[in-house]
Amino acid sequence: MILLSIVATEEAIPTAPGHWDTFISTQCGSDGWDQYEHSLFGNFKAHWQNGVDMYTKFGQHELANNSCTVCASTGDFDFSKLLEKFNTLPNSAIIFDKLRYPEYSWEHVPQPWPIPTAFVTSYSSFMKLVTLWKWIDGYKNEPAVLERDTAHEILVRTMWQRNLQYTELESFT
Amino acid sequence: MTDAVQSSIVIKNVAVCMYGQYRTGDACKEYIKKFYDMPGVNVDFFCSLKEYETSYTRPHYNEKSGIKDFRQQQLLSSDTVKYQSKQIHDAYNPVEFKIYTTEYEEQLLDIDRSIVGCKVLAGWADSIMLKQKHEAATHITYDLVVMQRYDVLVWPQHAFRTVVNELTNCPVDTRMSFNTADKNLILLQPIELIRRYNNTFMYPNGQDMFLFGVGTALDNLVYDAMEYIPSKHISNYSVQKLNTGYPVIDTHEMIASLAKKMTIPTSMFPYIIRGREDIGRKALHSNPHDFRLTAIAPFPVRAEYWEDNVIPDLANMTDDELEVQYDTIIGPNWHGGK
Repeated sequence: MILLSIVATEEAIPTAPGHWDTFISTQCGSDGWDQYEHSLFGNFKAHWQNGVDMYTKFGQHELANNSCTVCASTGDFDFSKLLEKFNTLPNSAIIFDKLRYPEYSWEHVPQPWPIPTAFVTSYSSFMKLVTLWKWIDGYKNEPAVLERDTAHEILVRTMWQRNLQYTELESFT
Repeated sequence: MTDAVQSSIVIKNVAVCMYGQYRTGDACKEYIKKFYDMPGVNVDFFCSLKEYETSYTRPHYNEKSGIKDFRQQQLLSSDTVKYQSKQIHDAYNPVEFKIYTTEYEEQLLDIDRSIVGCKVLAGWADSIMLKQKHEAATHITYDLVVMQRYDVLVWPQHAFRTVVNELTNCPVDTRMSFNTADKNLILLQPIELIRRYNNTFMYPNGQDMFLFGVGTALDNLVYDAMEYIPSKHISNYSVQKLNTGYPVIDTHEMIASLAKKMTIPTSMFPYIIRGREDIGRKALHSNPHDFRLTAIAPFPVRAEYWEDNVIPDLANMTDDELEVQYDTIIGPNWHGGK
């Protein structure tokens, strides 16, 4: 089973494909965590809300055992290449469209790092990743703890800590 | 002398996620309600209920009752499930409630092999996901999540309040403390009889009857547990599953294995002072031989422990009276397989 999790923004109102069950939440905003640039906090919170809705609708036995694939994006995205590659990976791995940018690039690179907006993984790994927003939110009583953090660092650190295997579709050499 | 550096852990909102079979829930509910009553702390209950009973960890009971297949589960009548649901609502007024149904079990691959093991994980997941459903709907998050069974009591009666107090803003620059401000922390209790009888000193051992997860810890735990729950699409026992398996003696103590895989900082519940609450910021006491200290003791309540099959009024016993019951009746019969 493939489920689609979309974060809708004012700029990108998605048109969901009819053949997958689609869950759409509106981007939640940074809520004061501006160091997590490119909307990591707001996007992940919206994806997490979609993930809870998936559980409520389908229940654990549909989603269990890495048998359910989640395609996540902000706005419309063609997942065909990601799914093709995902099928060659262990089903607990995460595959991003673009996780990192090359050190030297002709194209504009947002600084310090862009946050991936499209990825494919199992339901369990999806929730392990996107629940990061809630861990961040837990420090709202003492935000100084995280003030020197950055989006790319917390993303990679979280995947290491959660034992999430990950790769990306586009590689740079 | 400089002031102690404190963790940023503050516990004001607690979710108690109750799961599994109701069993002797009637005899436990008054004690449990009092146990979680803590001034200044909001406690919400989330309840998942199973509509069947099993007894596979009770060999002597099974033998006496003529239960030969230890995987057997006895479906409860609809009247019994209705009664149990009402008792749960009356006692705990749960924010969310759900009955774990068995009606589609025939669709689950290799369910026969999963009844003993993986269905335990299914109960955990359902109760924790009920909490998340509420969090998503209301935009609140809980500082602490507790998992607890309906038929379990935790001794002594101040254990919850004392550990919450010790966790809140605990010093992180001293000995005998939780040196972490990570809001992803688990406190649990080992199953001593498994450690003792299997010589499994270093084996990840933590039981599911009663545990604490600070912040997101139990969310992460059940996301991983969901990789091992019976599925409609993939067998839990395929060869491909072997590369992510755990060493498990009993699923009920699989908490520690999951926490280890998810790199969640984990500790045993601290010893606490007998008969006194919140004795002052020394969560990990240095001298376990101190007669004032005691381990927190969760235990299942079963009528068969007592000769007349009648559970006494445990909710109105003192800690000392309950300890006598535990030492002379509950502990020996529980460990003896009743």
